[in-house]
This record gives sequence, structure tokens and C-alpha cells, in this order.
Amino acid sequence: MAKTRERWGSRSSFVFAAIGAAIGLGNVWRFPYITYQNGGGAFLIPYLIALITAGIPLMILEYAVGQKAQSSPPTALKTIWKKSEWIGWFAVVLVFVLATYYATIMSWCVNYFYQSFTLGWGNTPRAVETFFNQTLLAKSGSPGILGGIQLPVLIGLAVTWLLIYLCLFKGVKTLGKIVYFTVGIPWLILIIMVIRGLTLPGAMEGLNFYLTPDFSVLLQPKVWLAAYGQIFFTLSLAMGTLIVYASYLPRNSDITVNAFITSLANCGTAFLAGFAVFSTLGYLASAMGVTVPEVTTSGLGLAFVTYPTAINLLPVASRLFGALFFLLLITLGIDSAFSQIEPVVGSIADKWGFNKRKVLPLVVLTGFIVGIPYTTKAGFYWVDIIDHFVCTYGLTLIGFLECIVIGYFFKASRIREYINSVSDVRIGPWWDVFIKIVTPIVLGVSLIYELIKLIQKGYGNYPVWTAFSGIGLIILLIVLSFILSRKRGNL
Amino acid sequence: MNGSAIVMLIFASLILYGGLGYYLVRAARGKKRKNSEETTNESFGE
Repeated sequence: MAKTRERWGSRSSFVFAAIGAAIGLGNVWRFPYITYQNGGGAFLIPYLIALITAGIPLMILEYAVGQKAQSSPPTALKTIWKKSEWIGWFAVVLVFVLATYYATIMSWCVNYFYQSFTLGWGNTPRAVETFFNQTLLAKSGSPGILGGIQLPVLIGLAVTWLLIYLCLFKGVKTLGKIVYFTVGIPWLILIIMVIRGLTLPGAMEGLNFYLTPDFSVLLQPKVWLAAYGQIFFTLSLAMGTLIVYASYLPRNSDITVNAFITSLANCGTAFLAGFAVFSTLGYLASAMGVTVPEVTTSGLGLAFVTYPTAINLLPVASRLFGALFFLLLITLGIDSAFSQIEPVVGSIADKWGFNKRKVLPLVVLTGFIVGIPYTTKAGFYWVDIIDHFVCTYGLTLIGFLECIVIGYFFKASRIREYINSVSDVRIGPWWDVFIKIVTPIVLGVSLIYELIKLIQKGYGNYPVWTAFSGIGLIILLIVLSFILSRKRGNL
Repeated sequence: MNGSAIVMLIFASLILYGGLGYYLVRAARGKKRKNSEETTNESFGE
């Protein structure tokens, strides 16, 4: 007998959930830095072109696959082409690995949020750095030396997984209400931080570094690859999240307009975050008497060292803004974190007909246990290494395979007919071109470019065996995906 | 902020926030679809 599928409470619940999945920590700590590093305002040109030619077409594709199949990634892809179920499982197992280290980064945010009430990370730039590297993480110096478990990080990890469980256990309808808060609160905090940042001395100098265009970079292929890479990762594509979220919509729901709203809201948030970050960096540079590039960092360094340093130097309410900044990161991250678990739970439930409520605690518990090695003194290195291999090779490969399967084995024009039959805004044959040619070429070139770079230089300053571990993990996940796709289910 | 940075600010804002506003209006004016319960497992018609 056919089963009744869960439904979002409303269209806006779905859109907010998808926006929440897309908007994550990278919007705050990656986009502004990549923009600055790749020609400032000029980077916005390839970024927007990448959004229109790859990001939005791929998002429309994933929404269409989930909504039409009314199923999670493996079973959805199986209905398109029987032999492609493993690609769906590959996305699912990969996003599970991603969730395990993402939860660890969230754990660091939870610890900093706790410390923000007393500015416990210290008063000087050196103290802040020491707090992150020695007090919180107690870095062992090498990925090969695990050291002991850092209790505060372990507690933060448990809190994060508990939050993920609480957000998901009531099902999609309740999740649809939670996302109004997990998306609305960061927007509100971001606006407060932009206003605060713009009123600080030196802010305009910071914004000049963020937005002053250097058009000569547009001739460099690496800038275009960076733009396509940023768009691809920021929209939560190829993770299975968008497919599973869209599968909870009725088949006659609009696809095109939803995809445009989600992707524009995500990129608009990243653009806005750039103002909060660079106005604060401008202030920090001015307060320390150095130039903006000297204080400009990205990723973990920006969030856990540079920003707390700037918070220390704020003339008033530094504790409040410290708490707000880390609450921003927690709320930005939590909806991305639970969006990484929903495809895992949904896929197991869909294939074997299990109750999602029974699958969820097992997935959450497994995620917590798998994440424990990241709480050791070598955890920082492993978060960095696994993140590189999962995103740069795993997700890019899935995006490439999705385009090939839909574009050639199923025929893009057939799925376009379905999209146009339910959407208020029709898409033309240009979409087929982007799915069949532009996106796979860009992803394929990016994959080859990164592989050559890996062979020539390795990754980071880590020992060679860590690169083998990273590639080995990707191969292992592919094998696991094939095994899962071969298992008999209740489909 | 210098002139060229302001130009890029306006350019990106028009596309991102203008585009978002446009599609939000389209969504508000779009067909109302029933959030009905449906059954699963319809194939893609292969």
C-alpha cells in the first residue's frame, strides 16, 4: 500500500527551511574573504554569473527531482535511472560525514558563546589566539597525535547533537516552524551587527577593501573557479538536503520561484555579512594601527581569533556583541546541521520503510560517536582535512554525476516539462544547456584542477599520508554507497 | 567608501535584493496550491 508522505505546514516553511540549509557559517566567514581575495567588488561579476548559470539551475534540478519522486535522494534518483541509486547514497553518506565535523565546529561556537559573557578568551590578540589554540583545542601539533579528549569540546558536541535531535524529532511540520526562528534570528543579529560595524571608526576603510573592484582578475581562470566553487558550496547543493526537503512538498508546488527565492536570499545574506565583517575588520585595523589586509583572515581564524579580538576592542557593550556574534554563528549553523541529518534519516526510512522517529535517535547517536575523534587534541586538523576532501572532491563529484544522469540518461528537457507544468515562471531550453554542458564542465574542470593540485603539492602542510586518508575516505564512501544501493529495500 | 566600491554595492544590491523582491512578489501573486496529502513512489515515467 502506498504511504502518505509528511508535508511542510506551508510553502513559506519549506522556503525558510531551504534558506536555513543554505545559509551557514560559510556565509559569514568564507564569502567576504573570498570576495576580498579575488578582486573585491569585481568578484561579484563571476559570482553572480555562477549563480545564474550553475547555482540556480542545479537547485531547480534538485527541487524537481525530490518533488516529482516524493522521495529521498537514493530512491528519487533510482526512479530516474535504476543504476543511479548509489549516487543518492553517496550524497547521503557524504553529508553524514560532513555533519559529524560540522557539529564539532558548532561545538566550538557553543563554547565561545558561553565564554562571551565574561570575554573569557582574554584581552589581548595573543591571549585570544592562545585561548583558541591551547585552552579550547589544545592542538597536538600533528594530525597523527590524537592526544586526549577536550572535555569542553565534547560537551559542546553533545549540546549540538541534542539541539539537532530536538529540532528534528517532531517531524517536518514542527521543523517548518523552528526554521522561522533559526533563519529570522540570524538575519536580525546580522542587521544589528552591520549597523554597529558601520558606526565604528575605520569601517569605511574596511568596506573599501571588501568592495573596490580590480577588474584585471576577471581574466584569471582561478577567480572564476573560486566563484563557481563558492556558489556550489553555499547553496547546499549535492548534499541531498534540497531533494529531501522538496520531497515533502506536494507534486504540484512551484519549483522555479522557490529556487530563485532560496538562492537570492542566501547570496543576499552572504553579501550583507560582508558588511558586518569588513566594517569590523576596518575598525580592528584602525584600533591596532595596522592596515586592513594585516587583520583580514577567513574561516576558523576569522571567527575564533580575529573577531573576538575586535569584540574586545569595542568601546561599549563588547560582551553583548560577543554573545550576539556567537549566537549568530550557532543559529546560522544549527539549521544547516539538521538539514544534513534529515537526508540520512529520510533515506533510511524511505528505503526500508522504518519510522523516522525511530531512525533519528540512532543517526544522532552514531553522529555523536563518530564525531568524538574531532574533540581530541588533533581534532582541529582532522576537521580541516576531512572538510577539504568531502567538499572539494566528494560534493563536486556528486554535482557532476547528478547533471550527467539527469541531463543525458533521463533527458533534461523531460524534467523541464514537469518543472514548467507546475511553476509560475517557465524556464526555457537555456536550462538544459546549463545542466548538460555548463555545470558539468565547470565541476569537471574544478575536480581535475584540484586533483592535479593535490598530486603536486598535497593538502596544506600536513603529512602525505593524510591526503591518502582523505582520498581513501571518499573511495570507502563510494563503495559503501554501492553496497547500500544493492541492499533490498521496501521501495 | 570610494566611488567604484559604491558602484559595485549598487550593482550587487540591485541584482540580489531587487531579484529577491521581484520573486517574493511573484510568489505572493502566484497560484494558490493546496498543500495536500499525496501518496509516494510515482515513477518518473521511464
